[in-house]
Amino acid sequence: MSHPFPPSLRLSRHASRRDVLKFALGSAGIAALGPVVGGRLRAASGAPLGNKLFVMLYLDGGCDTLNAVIPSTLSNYFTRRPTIQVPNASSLALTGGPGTTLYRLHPELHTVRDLWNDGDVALVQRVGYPTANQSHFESQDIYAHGVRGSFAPLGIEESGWVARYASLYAPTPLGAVSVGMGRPTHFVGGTSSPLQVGSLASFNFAVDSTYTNNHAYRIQQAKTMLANSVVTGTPAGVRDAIEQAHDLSGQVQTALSAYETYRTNAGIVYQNQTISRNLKDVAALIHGGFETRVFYTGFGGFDTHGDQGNAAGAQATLFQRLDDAIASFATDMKNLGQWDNVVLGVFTEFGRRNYENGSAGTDHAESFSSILVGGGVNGGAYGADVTDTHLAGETVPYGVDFRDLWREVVNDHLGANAGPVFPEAQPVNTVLGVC
Amino acid sequence: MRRPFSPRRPATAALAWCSALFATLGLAACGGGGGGGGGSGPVLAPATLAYALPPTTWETGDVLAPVAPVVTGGSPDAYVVAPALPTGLVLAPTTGVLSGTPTTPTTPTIYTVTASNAGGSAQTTLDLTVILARAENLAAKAAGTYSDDDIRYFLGRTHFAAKPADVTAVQAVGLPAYVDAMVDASDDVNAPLEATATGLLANATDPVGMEGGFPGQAQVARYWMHLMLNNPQPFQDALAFFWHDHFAASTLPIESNATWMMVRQIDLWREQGSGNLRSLMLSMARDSMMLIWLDGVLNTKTAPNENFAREWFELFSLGIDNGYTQADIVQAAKAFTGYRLRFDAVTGQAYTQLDLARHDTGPKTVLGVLIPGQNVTDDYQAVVDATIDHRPVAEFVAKKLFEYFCYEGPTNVPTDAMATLLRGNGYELKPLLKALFKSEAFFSPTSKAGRIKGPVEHLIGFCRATGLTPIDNRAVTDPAAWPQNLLRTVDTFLTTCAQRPSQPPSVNGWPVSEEWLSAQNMLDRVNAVRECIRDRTDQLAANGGVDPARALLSANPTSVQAVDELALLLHVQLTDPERTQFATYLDTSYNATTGVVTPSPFSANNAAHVAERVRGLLYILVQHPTYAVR
Repeated sequence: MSHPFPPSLRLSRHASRRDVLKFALGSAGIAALGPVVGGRLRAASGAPLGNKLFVMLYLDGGCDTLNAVIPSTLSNYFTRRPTIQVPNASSLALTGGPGTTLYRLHPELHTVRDLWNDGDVALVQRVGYPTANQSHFESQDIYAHGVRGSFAPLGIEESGWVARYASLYAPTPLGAVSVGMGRPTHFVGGTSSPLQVGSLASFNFAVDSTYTNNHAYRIQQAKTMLANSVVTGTPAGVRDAIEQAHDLSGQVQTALSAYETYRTNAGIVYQNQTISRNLKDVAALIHGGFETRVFYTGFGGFDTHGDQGNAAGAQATLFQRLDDAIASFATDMKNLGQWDNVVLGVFTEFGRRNYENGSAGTDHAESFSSILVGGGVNGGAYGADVTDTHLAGETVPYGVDFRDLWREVVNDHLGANAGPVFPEAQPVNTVLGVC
Repeated sequence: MRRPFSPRRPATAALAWCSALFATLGLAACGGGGGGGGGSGPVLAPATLAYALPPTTWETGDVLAPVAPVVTGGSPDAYVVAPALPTGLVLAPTTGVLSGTPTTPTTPTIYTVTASNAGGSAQTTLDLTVILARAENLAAKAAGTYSDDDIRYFLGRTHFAAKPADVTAVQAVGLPAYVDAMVDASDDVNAPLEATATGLLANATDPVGMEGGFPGQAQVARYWMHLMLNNPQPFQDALAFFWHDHFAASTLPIESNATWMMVRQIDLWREQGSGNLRSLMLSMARDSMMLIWLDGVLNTKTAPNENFAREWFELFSLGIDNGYTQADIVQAAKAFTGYRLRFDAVTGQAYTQLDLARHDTGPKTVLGVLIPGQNVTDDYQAVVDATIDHRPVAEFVAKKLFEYFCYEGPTNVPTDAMATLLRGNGYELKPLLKALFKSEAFFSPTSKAGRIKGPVEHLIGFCRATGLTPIDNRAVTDPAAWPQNLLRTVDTFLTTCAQRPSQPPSVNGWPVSEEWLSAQNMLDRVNAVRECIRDRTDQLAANGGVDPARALLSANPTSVQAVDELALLLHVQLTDPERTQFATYLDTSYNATTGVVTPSPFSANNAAHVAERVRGLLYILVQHPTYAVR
């Protein structure tokens, strides 16, 4: 099905019970504005942040990861995908580094292959959740909420899991940041209003270009008014929020400018593609030394129901863009000395069918292979493998609950207790050891 | 949020004096008399008893700081009062300290306090009255007491903005008469307006005879924005938006062969939003958009789906766990079976239809009410009636209305009064709405300070107040591109600000009040207003070459007068220092590069001043903390 809009304003048809069950933290229902240098806002609560960074990279549409992380020894992969298969002559071997002979990479993912050889890539097979849902919206919500069933028995408000993480461990607006993803459901709820920007450049008080002088004067006047304002009660909350908007946007624009100077001088190049631009913004926040520890970004186009292509074609182009972005970002992080602090996790809302359909494409399915890259990753292949028996059926059933994957990132990489972030019991628990 | 009122009682200084006196006399009383301890002599009775509390009238909710009794003679060890004090006020039985918060109105009453010990007693009287707090009082404000500020505030809440023409219209007839007319007109058909709105839904690819039947999601959203911006009776859309938020459904997962259903649902709120609540809720339950949104079309007798039944109780009629059980949800789901989704064979347009073969025709028991089995029609009316007639639906809906238009967290007092009014009028909403918008509660300081606007009120309000709507320049240069392009920019900004009409984030509706407060949302709103003030060329072209911002000021205001005129327009409450600051802003030319500030006396008849400074001041004023507070 087509996506006329980016993954923003994600819906859920599940009740939030907000009248009764507030998310049990501090000032329930009121956005925590967090600390501002020189401002009058509350100090951030929670344990001090470590220096680890987690970048979530979402492939919108349901990526056919069987063509990305190819189960190249399985005959059914080839027999059921006569035209859209990626032949071994084209795909990239993964015998270097941690070494596996069971999987090969799509040829466009050559940077991922190089990082695999360095031991900086984890490939987690068959990620999913119980009772697959093949609706884009429903499945996206499940991944965003970190909840498969109902919120009611969990005693928390309906919320994205990144919002829960941020409320608990990084409750300032910059504690978690989404770039280029509209208003992702991952960020809904909680109490800390983490930032969601189209781009860092857009997080700015846009200029009245006909009167740039007066525009600067207006900004100065507004900030003076807010600084001198003695309103109390409800308007005081408004004053604080607008003041914070001025302070934060100023900091972000300054950081963006400083980052561009650094990047140009260092000769680090990002492609002019959506995902590369998004990761460049992520890098700018990291370079700027902000408190952000969880970043959320991605790009779309992966709903390849028809004319998917194989080693070349529509999907291959998407993988090229993904790989280019990862390449630039890895170079940048290594240059900044941050690579060892990074885990970048690629995920999607479901994988696709084992077989090609009548339109040389694939339809919605269940589990997918997740690629994690970064110096913070323990390289290797994880999760019970895809088998020829799996490939004989409609879809590859899930083996690893996605909560286990993100739980390890939160617990072992970010060093925060993931219990309250993923409170729902799971029928299957797997200890992976990816971070 | 409730603000404690100061009770009408003596000055604190006087109280301190009394307390000191008590302490002195108390000690003297204890130390005086012969014999002292051992109980060998008679106990000295209290001689006089007094409270430093003249005849007092409190409002419910006033907090009484403890008042201690003043006693001469022997020290009492027991205090009683008759008759019983107003509910919420307490007399401590051993110390005689009066304190508490009255919660219930009383008639003026004399209370007798008796302080006693083994030796005897002393008495005094208290003359106390408790009246209903304004913030809790649904009774109408006295005629003739509606101030200009009241009127502007009223218009802000019901008309998105307080346009000067509307202020004049209210003053001409008085607010009570205006409210009556406003409510009565709120379901009127406005054929020309609705025709232009409906025209926005058409596409060149529409089948003949079904023009407007396959709108894109953007077209549906802009259909309503057009109505909100242009309705001469904006209360109709303000109220409809409340119902849309309460019975929240979104077009986001809906294909273009079914989006017409959201148009129909918007029309439902606009046509029936001030009608009969029972009918409205029944229409909502059977509404095609709702049937798709909450899986009504998937709910069959062999494969029941409880989605709508659950939300019917939990979100729409009663509130979570408020008088229903899981069994009621299961039974209601059975009653709600039978509707299915169908597609027109020729055009592919989706529609909903009752299919009795899919309907569970057995008897069901919902909230203790038996719905007999039958296979002639659906059971929706029966469930609606069972709920409304046997559970506090009136209270629940009354509270939603009150919290949306007044303030959050009221006591039951005003909402119970609203529910009584609603029931007493057979669930007709107009008498209730008329009472609400004339009431002491609506005009109370609590309500005026109460809530933070959502982005729709923020931006649509700005556009209606100032007439400065961002116009896509294609609309101006290419008449064929009007009117859709007129709304494209408004749509872009309402979407960025996360309140695109027809696309609430979930069935829970949009954030409420403080939940909107984030640096990001405030920045997004200011950027939306920046679009409105910077779109000079197009606005001039659409206004016969004249800057529409000029019309916001009088003939030749001083800079201070101009500040006040614009602040009044946006209903921003400025302090004197702020007024001076902004008058200086108008009287100034500023060089951002050098930081040099040059005096440049403001003239409203200087087009450049209007284009730069008047529009600039509007941009500053929407950042004033009182602009976003409804």
